[in-house]
Amino acid sequence: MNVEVHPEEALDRALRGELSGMEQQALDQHLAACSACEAHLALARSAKEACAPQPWGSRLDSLAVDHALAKFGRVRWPAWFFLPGQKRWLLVTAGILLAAGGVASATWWQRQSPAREPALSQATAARPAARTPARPRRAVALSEPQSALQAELTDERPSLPRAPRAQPSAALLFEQASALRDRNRVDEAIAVFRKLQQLFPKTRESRISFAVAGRMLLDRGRPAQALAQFNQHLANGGEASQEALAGRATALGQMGRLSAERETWQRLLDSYPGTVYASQARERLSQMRRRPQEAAPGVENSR
Amino acid sequence: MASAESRARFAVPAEVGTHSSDGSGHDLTGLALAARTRDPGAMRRFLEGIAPSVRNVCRGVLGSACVDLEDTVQECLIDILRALPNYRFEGAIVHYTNRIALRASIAARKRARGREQRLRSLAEQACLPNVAGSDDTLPSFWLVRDIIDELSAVQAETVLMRMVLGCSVEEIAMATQVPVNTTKSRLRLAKDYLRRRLDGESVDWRGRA
Repeated sequence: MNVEVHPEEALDRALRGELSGMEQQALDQHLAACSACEAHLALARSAKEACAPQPWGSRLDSLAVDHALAKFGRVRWPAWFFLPGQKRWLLVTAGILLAAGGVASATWWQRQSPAREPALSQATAARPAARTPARPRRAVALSEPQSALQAELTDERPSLPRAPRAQPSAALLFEQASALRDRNRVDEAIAVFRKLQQLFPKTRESRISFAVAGRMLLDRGRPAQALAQFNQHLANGGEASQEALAGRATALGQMGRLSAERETWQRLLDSYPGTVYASQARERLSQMRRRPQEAAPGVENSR
Repeated sequence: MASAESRARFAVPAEVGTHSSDGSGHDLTGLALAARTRDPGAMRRFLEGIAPSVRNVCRGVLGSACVDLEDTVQECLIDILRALPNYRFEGAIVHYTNRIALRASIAARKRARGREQRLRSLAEQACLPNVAGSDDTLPSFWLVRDIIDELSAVQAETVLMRMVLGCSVEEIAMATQVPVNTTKSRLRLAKDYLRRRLDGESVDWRGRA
């Protein structure tokens, strides 16, 4: 008998004891060479013995059925539910606290986002402009009427609907830039502000960023770039108009554009008589009236 | 050729569609239909009807002295209850339940394999008799079963149905819903692997020195 061909029928008949002498001899010959078939026979006989009826079999079956039905009927609760009482209540309390914390933080965030603007305006106002005037170039006229600026400052929210989707990203960029500025990484902060202005031009963060970035550029000695930023802020009806006007006048002074500077200081005083920049504006105006030649700035500072 | 004796052994208490052995007058297929409705009485009678065959399948695969035998029988019964809604009444219900039991037993064997091997090595180190929960010390069927565990799932299922449950090739093909030639091929490949491995082992599985 070929070793490669396993005699399945002969094995079945051997298990039933139905093999003739010749067949048994042939099978024995195969079994001598094929340990798999030998194992087949031995395992089948062993299983036959193992499955013989036992006196306690029905009792064990009954117990197994009882346990299976009990387990099958049991509702599958999550594992934490079966923790001891104290731990379970601890988990429930922690869950409630987490949920309450989430709601509170969401509420706080909603209330906090409009309140950031006045704080920002104050922060910008706390940095008065004091730079030497630069070479005169050309006059830039303000497009926004003063009444509109005043209206924006007093009641800005109804006229400025938020962009619902862009707001989180704009806020994130604004936060990043503010953090960079706080760490005195001014150039990186300006870059982030410019990215914010490019990506989210209609957002409130973007409008405010024009004033803040203009101030930073002015402090870095780049009046031309600062002027462009202040103009953008004022053109968009920005909330930090006082700061933008003061910064614009300073930038113009640094660039040597005295008539435009004078006009801007005057406009600031007319629009906001009680502004923190009033004394600076009056001093600069009187200086320009007394000694117009000295008031003219050096050429080297204009960029 | 199907072995009538093996069929009787693994189709207890009765052949499919006939009356159960307890004389309650309910056939297993009808009970299976009733058990699908989650009726507690029908579920109990159905499980009591198939429990002997399920136990025999588990015993054949795990060995009658396996410590996990009772747990595995319970798991099989639960699996069968869960799988009952998927029964399409195409084949015999006992074949269906036996196949579920066979798969669950193979899974249980594989789960317990590591522990069994550790126990065996401990027993060898301590020169103790086999404490791995197997009564098959002579000949050493643990080796044969370990090699069967190394086979792919379909080959292991085929070879266990053939060797332990005593099913014929045609019955295996019907139960596994594959052509007869596929079953023959699986069986041949499995046996070839078994022969190579047994011949290559230093331990004599027959228990001879």
